[in-house]
Amino acid sequence: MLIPVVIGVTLITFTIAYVIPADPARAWAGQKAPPEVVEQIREKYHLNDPLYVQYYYYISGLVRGDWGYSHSEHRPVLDCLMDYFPATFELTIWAMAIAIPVGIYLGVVSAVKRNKIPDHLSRIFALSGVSMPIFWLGLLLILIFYTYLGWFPASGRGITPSHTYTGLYILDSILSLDFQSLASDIWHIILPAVTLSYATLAVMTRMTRSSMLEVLRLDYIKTARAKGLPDKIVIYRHALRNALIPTLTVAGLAFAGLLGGAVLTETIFSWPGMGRYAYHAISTLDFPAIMGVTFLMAVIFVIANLIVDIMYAYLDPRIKLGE
Amino acid sequence: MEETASQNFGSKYESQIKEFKYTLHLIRKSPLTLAGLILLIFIFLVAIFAPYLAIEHPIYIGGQQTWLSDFNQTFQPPSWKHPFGTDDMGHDIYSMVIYGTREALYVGFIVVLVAMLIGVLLGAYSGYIGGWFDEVLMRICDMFFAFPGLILAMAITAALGPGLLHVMYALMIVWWPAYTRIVRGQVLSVKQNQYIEAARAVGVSRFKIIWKHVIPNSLPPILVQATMDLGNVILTAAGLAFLGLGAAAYTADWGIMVSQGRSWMIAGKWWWSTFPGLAIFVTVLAFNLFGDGLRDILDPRLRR
Amino acid sequence: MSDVLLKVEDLHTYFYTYEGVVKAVDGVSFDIRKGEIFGLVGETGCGKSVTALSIIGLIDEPGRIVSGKIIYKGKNLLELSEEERRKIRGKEISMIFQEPMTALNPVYTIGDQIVELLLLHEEGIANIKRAPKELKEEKKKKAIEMLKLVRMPDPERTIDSYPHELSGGMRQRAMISMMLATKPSLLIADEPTTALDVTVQAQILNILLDMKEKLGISILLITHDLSVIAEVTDRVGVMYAGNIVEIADTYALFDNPRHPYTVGLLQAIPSVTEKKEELKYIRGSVPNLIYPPSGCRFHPRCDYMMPICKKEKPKLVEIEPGHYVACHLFGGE
Repeated sequence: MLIPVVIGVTLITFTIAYVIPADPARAWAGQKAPPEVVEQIREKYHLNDPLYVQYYYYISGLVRGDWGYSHSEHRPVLDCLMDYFPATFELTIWAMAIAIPVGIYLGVVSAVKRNKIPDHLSRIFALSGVSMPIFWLGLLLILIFYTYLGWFPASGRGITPSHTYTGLYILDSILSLDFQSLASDIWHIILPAVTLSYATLAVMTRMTRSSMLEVLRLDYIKTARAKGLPDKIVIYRHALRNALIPTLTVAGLAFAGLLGGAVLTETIFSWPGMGRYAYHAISTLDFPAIMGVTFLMAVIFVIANLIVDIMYAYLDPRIKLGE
Repeated sequence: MEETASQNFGSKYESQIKEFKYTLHLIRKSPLTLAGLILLIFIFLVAIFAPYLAIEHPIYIGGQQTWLSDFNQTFQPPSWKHPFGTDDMGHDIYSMVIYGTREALYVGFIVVLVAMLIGVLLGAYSGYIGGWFDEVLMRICDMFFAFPGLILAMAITAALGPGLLHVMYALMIVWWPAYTRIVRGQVLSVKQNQYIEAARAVGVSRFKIIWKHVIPNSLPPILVQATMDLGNVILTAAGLAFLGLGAAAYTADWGIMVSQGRSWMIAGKWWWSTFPGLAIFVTVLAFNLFGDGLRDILDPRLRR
Repeated sequence: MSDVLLKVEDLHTYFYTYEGVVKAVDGVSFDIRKGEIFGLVGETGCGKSVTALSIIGLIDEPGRIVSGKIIYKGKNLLELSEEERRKIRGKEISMIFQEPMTALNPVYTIGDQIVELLLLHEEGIANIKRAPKELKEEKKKKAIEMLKLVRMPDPERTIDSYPHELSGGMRQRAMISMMLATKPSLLIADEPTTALDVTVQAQILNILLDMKEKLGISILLITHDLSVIAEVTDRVGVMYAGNIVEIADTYALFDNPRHPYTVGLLQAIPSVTEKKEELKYIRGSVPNLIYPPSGCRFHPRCDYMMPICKKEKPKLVEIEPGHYVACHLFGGE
């Protein structure tokens, strides 16, 4: 399942990196690189050979961990990504942790109170979320909560925990019982996580609403009500459990928005993750870095969707894994 | 004679007229859809009449949009003279936002139209003939779906080199698979219908069947998708511009304006980023409000 | 008349739609006696299902019960609070639906769905997750007993099955056993056999008859199928366009139908024993319930139409003991 999709991903990244640029060697070496370096790269990646040969070297490079050289950081791309990945991972996890429960709850309320005031409000809130430029939202939050109110910090991840085991600061702070850094790290992640979660939250709300509306019309809901069950049980135990199944697919897709949004959010909040790395890479034309981030994000997205497939089988007894 | 003809017309189209009236009724009953429609009309009017609404106007030097600087007017907060304030070169932000409407709509429409055209052609053909072509095309689409849209567009633009035109190419490349898949799905479901079988049985050509029967029937969901995508494309283009991949600095592009004003936001000079960002938000919201309402209204399952 | 379990009096249930007010049930009265199967028959859209949903209290927007009384064991259900009605639903009055394929929740096992109902009405525990394990086991045993009662094959295994693993007939059995688990006094069965194969239909009807005997319950059986009526019901009400046009003992109705609509319905049944030249049918079609015909709603389709039929709505009158008809042909005497 995973392997063919990742091969597909490499086909596209290969095309972007080797076929689209007018002079791939120049693009990979960087605009300021001296001609010898460009020539060296041309040799190393066999850029004068036919494309399928280049693809072979590209793939074997990826497998061996040679993802190119990031000239903005003067070290291999993979090293940079390893450093930056935990920050992005932490941010997206927290954004998800906000978006999924809140989004589902608002979607349920919206569906149950269809065409009434709560529905209108939550629809407007959700439509705003999918329409909001995430970088603008981040800036507004900084303006309000940092510049004017001074409640939250506007940049960085906070104090580094005394021991780093995972690179996830909040988790590491707890593990090393460093409460000073824990407070600081939570403090720092709130604004970026809220910013990043909004769009996903909105998508979850909309999807939950529409699948709830679909489910609420079905006969087994009538049955549940005919059993005399209270509305709460009918809605959450009987309707929502079924409505979650299609919603889950969207949660997987929404994860893509989260990864894209991370690039913008990290830029705004100077969050030292892969997104900010990509932003710096763009401004210094560090092409290997951009391709590295692109490939890794695609792989993360593919894995996220795999997890969704597994959860699917858990939620829906009609689906058996491997069928 | 004539009277019976018109009566026939009336009765022949009676159900369609009734449906249409009902659709209008639904639009009226749905305040959000109506709000979206009104906002859209407003935005189009702004784009059309931009030269009359703006205070300052760009000049074009060698095809490059340029705004004249006024160093006596830098960082003016919003006032009657400069409703949205000015930037660090004294440009009137209000005028740039107004002209930015044109660019945003231009990018949105061109990208969506091209992506839709590719999608309709490939999707209709692929869905109709099936076989290995269909199989290969769908696998290619899957490859594209494995990427987060913004990230893929970012990489493609980086490979092509920054610039508005390249952003548009990148967005077209990112968006066509979605349309291909929608159209293909529609074609597959329409193909099952008996009247298509009948048309085939009486020897109507393949091209004619696709053109006359399949495409018109798959139009409503595509139009809904296109309406929402206009907003999404504008939003993604703004994101790319914000990252420095789109239009040049100091041009009437909302994304680059927010990006340029960003470092001043923290210092309290909020207007530079706020107004162009608001413009993006309102425009995308308008498309989403209208598209969302349209989907509910056209969806036969939710109609009654 | 102490043997009356449920009495519906002049019930009006309207739906307020875009096109206008749909008078789905417009002045319906009948009663159901203890231990009988009362059939409600009529064409699709005549208001039989709406009547059933009104009784159990599941009329949704844009529908509303406008007026009338539903008297169950001496209490008018329409005067109770939603909370009080909820406690009756599933405990005293239960309902099963037409589509056994979709009427059971696909993500829970049959056992879970029955146990949930038992916990709710016997223990007052609405959330099955909060129930102690032993209690759940106890209820599960009871659920297996219920499955045995409806002659479910292999009940120990079926109890842990998901609905999609069962056939249509088995699902309908599961449904019946669930809705009877609390031993209600009235079961409303809305087209319980329509979606099933003919052979399975007979089994399900037999189970219903059996349940009536064994549990002493009353059943309100709703169907458009006269053969189902003939097979199992004790008494029948014939509905037409939101009204009841005739009520009689099943035997009397088939033997001596009085209302022209009933006569038409019976003549429309194909017969093997009698060779007819052509199948009879009732001319015209079911009227629009937003602008129903004036007077007797059947008059545009009636062969015996008189001037008065257009003007005045006939009342339900008893023409023979236990045989009621709403028709001007019989109203005069």
